[in-house]
Amino acid sequence: MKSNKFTFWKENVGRSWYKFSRNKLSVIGLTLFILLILAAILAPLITPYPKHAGNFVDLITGSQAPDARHLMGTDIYGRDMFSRIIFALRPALLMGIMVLAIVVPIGTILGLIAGYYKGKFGDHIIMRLTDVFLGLPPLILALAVSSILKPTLTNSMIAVSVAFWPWYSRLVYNMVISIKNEHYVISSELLGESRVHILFREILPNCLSPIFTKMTLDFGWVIIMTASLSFVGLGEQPPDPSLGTMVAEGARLLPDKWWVAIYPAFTIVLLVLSLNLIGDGVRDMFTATEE
Amino acid sequence: MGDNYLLKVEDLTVDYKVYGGYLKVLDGVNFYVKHNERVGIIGETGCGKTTTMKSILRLQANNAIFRKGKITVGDQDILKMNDKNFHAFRKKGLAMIFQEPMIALNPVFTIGQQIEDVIYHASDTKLSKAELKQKAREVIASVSLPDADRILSNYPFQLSGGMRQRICIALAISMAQKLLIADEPTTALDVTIQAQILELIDQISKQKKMSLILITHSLGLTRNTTDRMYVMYAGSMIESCSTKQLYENPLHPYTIGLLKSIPRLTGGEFSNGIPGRLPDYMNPQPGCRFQNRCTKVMDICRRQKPSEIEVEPEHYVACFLFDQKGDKQ
Amino acid sequence: MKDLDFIKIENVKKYFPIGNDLFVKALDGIDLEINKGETVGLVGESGSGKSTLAYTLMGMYEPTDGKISFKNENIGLKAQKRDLSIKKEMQIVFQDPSGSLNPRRVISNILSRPLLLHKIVPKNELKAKLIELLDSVELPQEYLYKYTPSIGGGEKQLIAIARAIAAHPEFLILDEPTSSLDVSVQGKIINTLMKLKKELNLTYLFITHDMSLMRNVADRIAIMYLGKIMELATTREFFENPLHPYTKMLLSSIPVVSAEEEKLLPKEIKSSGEIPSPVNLPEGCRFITRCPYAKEICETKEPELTEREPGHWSRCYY
Repeated sequence: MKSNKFTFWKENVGRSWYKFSRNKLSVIGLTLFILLILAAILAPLITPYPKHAGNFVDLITGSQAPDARHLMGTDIYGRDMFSRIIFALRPALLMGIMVLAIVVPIGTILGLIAGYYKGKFGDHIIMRLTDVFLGLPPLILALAVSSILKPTLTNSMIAVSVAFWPWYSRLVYNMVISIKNEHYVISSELLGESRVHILFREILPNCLSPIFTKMTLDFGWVIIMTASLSFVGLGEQPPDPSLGTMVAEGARLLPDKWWVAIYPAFTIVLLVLSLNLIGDGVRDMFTATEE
Repeated sequence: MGDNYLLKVEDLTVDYKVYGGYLKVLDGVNFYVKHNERVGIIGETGCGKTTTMKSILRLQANNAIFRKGKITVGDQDILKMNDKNFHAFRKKGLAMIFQEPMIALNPVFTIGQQIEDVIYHASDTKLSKAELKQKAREVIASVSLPDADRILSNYPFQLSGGMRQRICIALAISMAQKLLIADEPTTALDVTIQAQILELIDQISKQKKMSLILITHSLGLTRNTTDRMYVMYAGSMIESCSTKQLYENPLHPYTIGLLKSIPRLTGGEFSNGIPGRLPDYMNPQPGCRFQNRCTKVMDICRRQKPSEIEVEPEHYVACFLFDQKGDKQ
Repeated sequence: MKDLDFIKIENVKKYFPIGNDLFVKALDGIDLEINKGETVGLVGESGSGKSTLAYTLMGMYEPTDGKISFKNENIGLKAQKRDLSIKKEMQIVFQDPSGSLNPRRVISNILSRPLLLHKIVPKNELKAKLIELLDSVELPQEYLYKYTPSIGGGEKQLIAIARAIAAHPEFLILDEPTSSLDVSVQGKIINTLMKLKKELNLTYLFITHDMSLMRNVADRIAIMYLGKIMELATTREFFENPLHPYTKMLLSSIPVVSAEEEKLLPKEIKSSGEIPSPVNLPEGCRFITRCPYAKEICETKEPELTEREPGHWSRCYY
């Protein structure tokens, strides 16, 4: 009988892929993103100068323009830009994954509770708090939090998370308000189901698709925000490579030594763009079927 | 042939492209509407009636694929017209009343603005503001709504469902001169309002000498409003005859089953309906599409698609039960 | 009469505040008794309050005023405050089966919830019981492992019915169970419901706007209009001798499919007007805006629901 369930999922995955792949740009985005992830994972193997990712100084080869030896040139310390960029993908992707892993469960649970108890005390507490956080521009909020903390990767993760959770509680809140009036939720209430069951087994599964859509879009945002934090020196500290720091260093050398700033900036754009394209496809995937 | 037909649909075949292949939704639809004739099309959810109507108005969904067939209005093949000509033609000739009067009207414009807009675009001469307003009043009055001025200045949400549906009819008839297509015009309405709207459609189509296509899933609605009927099942017309014949002497097993499953005011036993469900549109079995639900299924039904046979004058059935050649085999 | 007090609804009111001290008077004083084992048909247009009555009975709303009792026990409460034992006895089947079954849960999960919650069967017999349930609505056991979006509307409704009867309730509210379905499957649903009623000795409150259907399933029929019952009679009485003008208007609007039926429709009254908003009710009779027979007294004083013939009640001066 398990096989029945399996064919259902197989069919579902097939249909989802069909809808996702109808948008060719999303497929391009997905391919790009997978390539970037592979590059990050295999960084020590594919980069020509893995050592340059760390504390390496060779002033003789400093500030060289891109050529055959250094595809994207070198920075002022003579480190290979290409190697550093590939290594910098690691903290960027890690940030995205970790921040989402923190904010999505927190925001979702708070939104579920507030939405289900709409009009009650808990709703007011949670949603007013959400409103306060939503009222502050996320970047400013993240800057403020990380300027209090020590500038490390973990701390900038916390800072960005503080700025992101309210978006999820707001999203889930609005969904729960409409889903809780669906007759299948009411049926379970009339049957005498516990609230935990209703919240997590009846309502939550029906909130998942917009959450996933938002997650793919937010992934890019998190990366931009991390880069912004490290651009102003509040993220990962040198010598560890970080896209934001690299852009910041390169910005001083513009326009003569353009490659130091442009390549990391372009990588950020590529990463965020690929995620946004995926996000569009994911949205199509979850919208209602034709016919 | 020729002049007598207002609308003629021949062998219309439309597929939808979806995950895993094509849904063969329309499988050779044939029907016609004469001038000043009122035609009912009966069919259940998913039988393709809406797809047919959307094809006539060229409002198909993006994933619809037109395979073959011909739709002629008068002497023009509307599938071959270019967009501009078709829009000009549709504006004058065809109009549709949709099922849901709540969403057929734009909520942010007043009824007056919407009706005047339609009149403005439909008329050949440029009308002045006052003329437009006057025409709009006439249109409102033509659907038996009192207090035209108040209604014209109202927004859709200020009106009840029945009034909104009257407005939709008003919009439709204010431009169309030839053919009115009503797609489940009363499904969203209460019984008492339904009776009123049906009477209005009946009265207007007679008065304006318009042809009418009334599409519905409820056999009770067409009995007094139409002259001739088509029964549609799984993408083709399986029976067509005069309305009277259909109710008194239905021939196709599907039509008989449908009529039997309607609860009667006279009481009595209540049939179990028609077992089974619509065929799989993606991989329909060869032969008759009703075979799996039919109580009188024969060998030939599984091999061959039945063609329409004239069993009695003007009474066509697509079923091998009535096909002499089918009997012999 | 047997078991007079199975379900007793006394002067039940439900007002929904809409601000500015205005109220939507969805239920405006309903009196109704439902006896064990009968099917009461509740007919009305949208806005008549028939669904509000059903939902109040089920405990989705708390009545503003009045008393509802089930076997002499007060149930005029929200469902959350009711005993689990009462919840077990009353179930509802909603109009739209797609909305009443969670699309993300497999059918075996949906059906096993009431069995586990009300401890109908021990866990090791659960599977057998689920198959038995599907069998009672004539669906094969493969359906246990399907998700509802992959099955047809009629089958979904059968699943919803199976869920409703799973915990062996005594009373079932059917809120337009067939009106979102095609005619060809309607018969199957109705016949299944009638079969279950006999087998399980159920009592039904059957809400619908389809009078022809009522004719075939109900023992008694109540007509609602703007939150009040306008006429109440046994089915036979109701169709042979309708008293209230509103009933006649409803009957005259029925779309029928044969000449014999057409003869049964009242001819003297034609449908006109629409149901007014339940916020500002007329002072006198609430049907006055559409009634062709309105007299002076109808404008000032609302008629009472009076017994005109044994068991036949009507709210009209006529």
